[in-house]
Amino acid sequence: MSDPTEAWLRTLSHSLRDLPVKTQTDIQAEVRAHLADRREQGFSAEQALKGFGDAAVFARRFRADVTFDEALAQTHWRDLLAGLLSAIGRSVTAAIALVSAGLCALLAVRIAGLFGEKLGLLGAEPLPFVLPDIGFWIYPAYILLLFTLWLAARLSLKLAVTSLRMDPAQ
Amino acid sequence: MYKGVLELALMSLLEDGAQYGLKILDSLREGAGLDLAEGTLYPLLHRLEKAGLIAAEWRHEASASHPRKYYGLTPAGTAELKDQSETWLDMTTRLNRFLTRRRP
Repeated sequence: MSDPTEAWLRTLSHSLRDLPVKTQTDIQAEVRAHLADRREQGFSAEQALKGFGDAAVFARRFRADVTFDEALAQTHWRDLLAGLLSAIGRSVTAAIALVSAGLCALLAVRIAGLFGEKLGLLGAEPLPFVLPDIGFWIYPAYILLLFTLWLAARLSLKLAVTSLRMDPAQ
Repeated sequence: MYKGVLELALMSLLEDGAQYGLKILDSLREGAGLDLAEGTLYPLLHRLEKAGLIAAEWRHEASASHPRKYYGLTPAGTAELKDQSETWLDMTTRLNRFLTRRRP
């Protein structure tokens, strides 16, 4: 089996890219030193990496610590910009995810209304698009569509919260 | 609460002298019986360093094939350790007394 260390470190490096350069270098050097020590103690690459978990999740715990204060403490314009973009990126992702969840919910309500109308339970406004006429199969199709929208809304909300959460380790 | 316990144990360990990540991890696991993973320790060290409670420096020792990052307690960390230790000991003493109040 090939050594997974370099691939793990590449993911780490990629995931840390919006941190100040010195912080990135320090974290990577420290992790490399730790892994080298463990290998010298006789651990396999997999055993040495196990405690770090997923490289992207590990990196996020450091990224979450990058605040505006830290960005302002940097002297290089690139580090200032990286701190700012990181914060903006989190907010934009959360906003897009929240809008997406809202749209899913709205569409689900419209489809549920249409479903109700088909069953003679409710009146409903027509959808802004035409669903194909597939006879009886329209009912399972409605249910599948509603389930998919529910899943999409839930996933969007989760993404919104995750992107804003400051420290996933806590 | 676990995060607070980790911080306290970590600062107490560093009061004995500067240590590097792997040594800290093994000492806290074996000495304090804490179930601590690398993925938790290094971000915690990073956060405490940023808070000014610990300070780090890279050392290249003759016995090691690579440099290691050593962490030591700062004066602010020493003061914080004293405060947190007193709070913790006071709280656990009261809680122990409360939990064992019905025992003879």
